[in-house]
Amino acid sequence: MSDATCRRPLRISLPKGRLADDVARHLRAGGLDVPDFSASRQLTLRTADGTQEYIQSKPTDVPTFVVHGGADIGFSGLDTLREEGVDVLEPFTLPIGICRISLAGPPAWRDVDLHLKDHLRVATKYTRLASDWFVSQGINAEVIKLNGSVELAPLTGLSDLIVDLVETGRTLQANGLVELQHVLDSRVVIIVNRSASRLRENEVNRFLGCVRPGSPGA
Amino acid sequence: MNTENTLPAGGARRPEATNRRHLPLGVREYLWQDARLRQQLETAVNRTFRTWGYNTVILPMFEFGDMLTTRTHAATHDRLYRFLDMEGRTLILRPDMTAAVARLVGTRLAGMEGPFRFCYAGSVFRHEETSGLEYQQEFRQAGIELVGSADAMADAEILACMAAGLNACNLSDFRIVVGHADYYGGLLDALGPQPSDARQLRWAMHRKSEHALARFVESCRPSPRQRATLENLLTLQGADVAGLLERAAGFCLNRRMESALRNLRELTELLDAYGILERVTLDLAEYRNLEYYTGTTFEFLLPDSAAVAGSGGRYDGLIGKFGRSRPAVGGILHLDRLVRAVHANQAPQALSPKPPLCLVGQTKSGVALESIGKLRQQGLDIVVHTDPLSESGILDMGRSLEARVVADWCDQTQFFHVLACALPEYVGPMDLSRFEQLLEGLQRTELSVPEQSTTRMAGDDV
Repeated sequence: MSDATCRRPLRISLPKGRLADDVARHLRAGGLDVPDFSASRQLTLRTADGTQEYIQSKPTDVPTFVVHGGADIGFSGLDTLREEGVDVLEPFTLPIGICRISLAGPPAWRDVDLHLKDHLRVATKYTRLASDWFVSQGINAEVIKLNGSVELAPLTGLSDLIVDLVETGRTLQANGLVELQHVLDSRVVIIVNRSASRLRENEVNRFLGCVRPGSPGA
Repeated sequence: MNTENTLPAGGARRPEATNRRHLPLGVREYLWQDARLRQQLETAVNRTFRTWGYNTVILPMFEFGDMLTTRTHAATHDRLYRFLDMEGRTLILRPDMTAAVARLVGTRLAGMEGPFRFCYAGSVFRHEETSGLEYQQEFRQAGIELVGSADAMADAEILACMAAGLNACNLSDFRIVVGHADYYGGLLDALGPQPSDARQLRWAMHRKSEHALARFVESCRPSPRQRATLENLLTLQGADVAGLLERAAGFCLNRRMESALRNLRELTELLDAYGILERVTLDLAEYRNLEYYTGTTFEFLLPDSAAVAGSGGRYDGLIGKFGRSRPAVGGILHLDRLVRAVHANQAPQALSPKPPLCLVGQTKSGVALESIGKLRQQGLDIVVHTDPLSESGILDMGRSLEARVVADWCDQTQFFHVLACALPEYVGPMDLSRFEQLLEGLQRTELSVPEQSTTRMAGDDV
């Protein structure tokens, strides 16, 4: 069987930050022995039985690790996955990390037909995702990259609108912005390296079986 | 033309390219051991192909654009390298070899009976989409095409022959993923969806996304039988080939899907006979270029490599677009990726030129050069230094090249003076015939510093 020829344990890439706790809780509920990264300074940790190795990285790097085969399986937000645009398998989503990516701006923009605007400027950290969406909507927009505090852009005149992640909407409200349109409904998605799904079929399927929503334990 | 608005060649946006080591993205440059390795792999693969009766064909690097694009590359036409000839006609750098073979067979060989077996090696050029995995524009391929047989035996031969090629490179740990264009094609026939819907289904199949598939199922309102097929589509993959084929039979919606399974059943029996069935993963939700492939499709994977090592399939419709129609099947191996696979199995290695057997100081003597010429004909590699050097200079040069013998020719005595030798007792003057014996002996016994190069391969005649 092919799985026997692989030299290292199945490697799973977990995101740091916002999604870390939810993902770890979901995996443990599925009966997986996820090591506790907060108790160690190591970046890779193996399970007690040595069959799995977990790595933790910036959420935006999870798809990169998986597409290159640095990890076989990863947990990513759909927002991050679409932004990174990598070619991986995405068998199913999990009911965690639920949020949406929205187009937002000052309330006056509610009545504006964006298709008619000549030079719309939009600040976002999701430049690829936003550009793709504007193209699909037939809206001409100039996308400006920001790495954080995106709400500042319309307040300072840097941009007309923003495309950003919305969880509760409170940050928008506090800055006098309103949601204008839904761009993407995001949640955690499990991603699998294309080759690993063939070369480590059994291990991957066993792992997916533990994580699949609705499976016993999960 | 308004020259004021015309930028100088290369554009003024970038600073002058001062770094001359800079290459365009996606091309490869190999030195020394690496170059030798790729050549060895290419030789090993091609030698294997020839032992299966495949004849080398040499194909042009570029062709007329309208010849290839409209017939074969409609789906990928935006990824081709185009340029113009003197008369303004569009030329394209070959994006693959199969289309050129199809053109050749469909036109020049139309009058001959088949079957034809062709093998080739060379570069093909494509703007590869940056799927995040790898950016490549020049691909070195070695491939085979078997033209004139519609029998599953031909598909099996291609797979077995490519497998033998990988074995000859000591890369025997491969996996073959086999799919069939007619299973998906038949499913599309049965559903009869709008083109945009088909795109959604293809996306779901490509990403193995249950989520996207469920959305497609909702949108296309299938009959209960169609629904069952669709909902199980992503589960029809794995290494349990026999079990899968049996299960898939329950989800056939028409003759086309049934015939795909019949064809795959026959193929897997033959792959079993060839002894490679245990390497096969079946995937009925595999979707590959449908304009091109009409039957089995396949990919070769190597461990610890995310990029496919080889691919191919049956293309019964292609040759007919150029002339007399014939069934055909073929596949290619990506030589650059085989190089990487070999490297993945080794510790990194410092690159250096291959040490010559012998370094001779500058000599213009016809007698000496004739003697050296004779030795070279026997396959001994001898470097004659082209510039004058002192004795210590040529010794230093010999050490840095790691030559096994360093010698100077003495015009007065008509002797070779051996200055350094792997067998120190031979240092000193000697006549032509003793010198020749020494080098032949050294070559035979390989008493040298063992060559750092890789494992010897079946085609190791470089």
